[in-house]
Amino acid sequence: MLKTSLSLMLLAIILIGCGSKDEAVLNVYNWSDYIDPTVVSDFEKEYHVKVVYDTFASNEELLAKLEGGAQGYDVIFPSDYMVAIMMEENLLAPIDASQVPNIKGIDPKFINSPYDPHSAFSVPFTYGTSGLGYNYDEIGEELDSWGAIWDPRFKGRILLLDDMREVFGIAYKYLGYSVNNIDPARLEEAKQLLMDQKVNLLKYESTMNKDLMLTREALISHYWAGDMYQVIDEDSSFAFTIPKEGAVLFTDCMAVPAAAPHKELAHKFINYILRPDIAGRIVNEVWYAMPIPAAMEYVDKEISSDPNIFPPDDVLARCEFLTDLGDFNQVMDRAWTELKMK
Amino acid sequence: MRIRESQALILPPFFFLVIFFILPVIIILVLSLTHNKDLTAGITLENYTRIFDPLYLQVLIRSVVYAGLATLFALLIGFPLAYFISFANSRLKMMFMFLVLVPFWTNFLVRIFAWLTILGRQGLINSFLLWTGIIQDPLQLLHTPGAVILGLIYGELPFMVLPLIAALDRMDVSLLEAATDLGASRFQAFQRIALPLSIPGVIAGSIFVFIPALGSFVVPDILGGSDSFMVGNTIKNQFMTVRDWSFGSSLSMMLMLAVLFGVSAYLKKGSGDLNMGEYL
Amino acid sequence: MSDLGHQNDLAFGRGFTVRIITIGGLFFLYIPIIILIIFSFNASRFSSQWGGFSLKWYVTMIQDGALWSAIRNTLIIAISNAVLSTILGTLAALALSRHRYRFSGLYHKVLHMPIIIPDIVQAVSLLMLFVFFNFTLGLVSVILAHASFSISFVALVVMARLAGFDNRLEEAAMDLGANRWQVFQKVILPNIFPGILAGALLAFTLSIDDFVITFFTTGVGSTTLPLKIYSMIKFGITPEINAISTLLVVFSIAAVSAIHFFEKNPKTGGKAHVKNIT
Repeated sequence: MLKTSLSLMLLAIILIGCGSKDEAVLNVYNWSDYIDPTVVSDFEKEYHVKVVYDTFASNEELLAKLEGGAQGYDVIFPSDYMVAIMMEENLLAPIDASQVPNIKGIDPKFINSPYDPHSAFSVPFTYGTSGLGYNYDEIGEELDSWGAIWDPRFKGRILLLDDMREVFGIAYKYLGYSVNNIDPARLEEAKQLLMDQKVNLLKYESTMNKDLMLTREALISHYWAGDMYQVIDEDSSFAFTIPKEGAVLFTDCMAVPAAAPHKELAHKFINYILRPDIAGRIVNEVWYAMPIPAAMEYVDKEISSDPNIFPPDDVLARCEFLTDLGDFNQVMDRAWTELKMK
Repeated sequence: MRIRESQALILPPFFFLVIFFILPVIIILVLSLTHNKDLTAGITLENYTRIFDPLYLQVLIRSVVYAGLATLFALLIGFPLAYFISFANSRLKMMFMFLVLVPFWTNFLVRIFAWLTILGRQGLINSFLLWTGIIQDPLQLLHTPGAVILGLIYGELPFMVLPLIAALDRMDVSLLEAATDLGASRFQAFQRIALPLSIPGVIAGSIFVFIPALGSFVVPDILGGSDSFMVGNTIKNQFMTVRDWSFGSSLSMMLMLAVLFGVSAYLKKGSGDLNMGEYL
Repeated sequence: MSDLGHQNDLAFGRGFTVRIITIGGLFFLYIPIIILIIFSFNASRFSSQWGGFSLKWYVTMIQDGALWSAIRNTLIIAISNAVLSTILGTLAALALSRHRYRFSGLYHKVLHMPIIIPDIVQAVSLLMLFVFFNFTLGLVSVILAHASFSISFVALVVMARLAGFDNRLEEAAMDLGANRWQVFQKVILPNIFPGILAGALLAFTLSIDDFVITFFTTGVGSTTLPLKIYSMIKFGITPEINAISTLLVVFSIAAVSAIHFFEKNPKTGGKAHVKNIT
């Protein structure tokens, strides 16, 4: 027994040892389905490094992991408001622009945004909006308003994102308020509206939406544009719209954690992602817009001309970024918990 | 010398358990008494008073009901299965035990996902019923409380069957034979002899099913709908989404205490001393 | 599993109801597995439509590098956990079965606790532990976390085995001049070895299948198979996941048959056999 267990232990140590060879390693932590995998392997070849690529499903999961002492990540992909939270908690390392020359190619509209006023800790990766994905063939008409989620015809066939800010964002937009308002009375009004919506709701869901739509469980899903286009690419019965009331606008960013072990390589990776030809390949794969004008020539025509993916200025004007609500977060969370638990 | 040996044996495992089991529990106990994980602000009971908000009580009650129903059905299915297997001859028995275990060597998540293919609007059951013309529109089977309970039963059934087999195996069959010799029917023999003797197995099996079912968050996540939130989901949310570690900790402490209290009461009512190792 | 099947001349457990429920129960257990295996050969990527027979998902699976690294992580964790918790669990079992302590009762309670505490509670408490001591999350944290619940399972299984150990064997060996180590090595160990093996297998199985505790304690580059599968479902239950699961079933059946064969083989240890692999 002793011999067996010793040899097993030795085997385990050898196996673990395999992972930590001296070859340079870059640990990337990104959303799932959010990059062209060949970009990663090309980067590995070009820089003779190994990329360890892990994925997460929500900003909060990413934050919990960083706060929880997962110290090895070199490049992470937080969304706008999460960048602000992480900056406040001193979790991010400053970006050295001199090591990322391709930053100059970013559309100035996306530089110095409110969540990172001096663009010191983050580099914009993609942007887009949430909206309504729906099965056009089965519904038989085009949708253009958030009102559809209260329509009794779609009872029990509607998915809303399992995301407090996004869901209250819908109700606020539908009522004509800002997605960032912190008025308790308006929150109550929005909560009532969403409470009434629950009879129509299949569930709050952010991960399995694609499958639930493709298998016809859901007719309508509140979803992010790029992910919805991945569904449409699979099955052309589906369509996507940014409702006329407006929607939540997001920028997903690249950042380097303060504790990142390979900061220099991390900068190289970020710079590589921003290279116009590489950015073009990513946009073609993930169907999300990147704020790099020079990349447009590498993007397929059907994507670059789609107003849902690259929203024109008048649509963008109706949409809003989320900002940190501070103490009001807890108030909203109470309402959200009520919604989810009832 | 004997003393040294006894300490050499006990120290390593319990040192490990103190660090990786007791200490973590103490940490969440401390966290649960703080205001939003601020250790310097002194002790507060606010996180515990929050639990008694009807909102959370409702979720707790729902979790107990779902887990209780899952345990009951697992027992109703598991007992005849175990009874059948324990009376099979030893070769057949080996095969049946094997049959009960095989499904559980696939991944837990995959086992649960497979039910999506069965219960979905385009799933097997609905396709069949539509094909036979019994229904005109697909039934909503998925994303219902029923689907959650079904998933919980499916996920934990072997943990009911195995302890029951272990208990039934230990029974002296000559008792059953004696009973039938004395004129009892097979059912009477079962009712008067086999059933009482299998109680330790019933207890162990119920504990092994009820506890994981109570704390489950993956099954309600996947098979549940908008009204199937369980206490496991609430705890996960506190840590992964809301980031209120203090409240998450108090919920965890309550769940743990409820389970410990429940189990010890259940054991006292049952057979008292139970060596669970015999039922694993 | 008991060595002795019940004598069953009177057909106990063979009544109509019992048979029906048994067949129904097995049917219930197997429907999802059968469907999963069938759909792993589905040419269509949708989980609910049959698009003809195809082996392409097995090819996809073999070429999926991330999947293989997840499998490697899973095995590293499961093996390390099995070794660590088998050693510690066996020590605990020997200690509590063979010695009296001032706090024996307390030790027993502590040992039972990881089994009856919901895994979500253990998961979050371990995460908090690692946070407090600023311990880097990764393979090591997952292994330690798995061991923290596996030890108890191993200890209880080994204790059950030790309960049937005849102390007179030990005394006889001592009388014949064996020292304590020799007694342990030559008498006790061979007797409880089946229990230890069963405990190790149990620890290995628990570790391979664990999602909740891994989910909370995993870090850089330690994604396991269950976590990988969880992240794959975002784009639907592709037949690739079914193919992985089919292979898991086939592999497990092969492994258990091998163990079974190995036990029956007289050269390797007589009637040693695995008790109730859960």
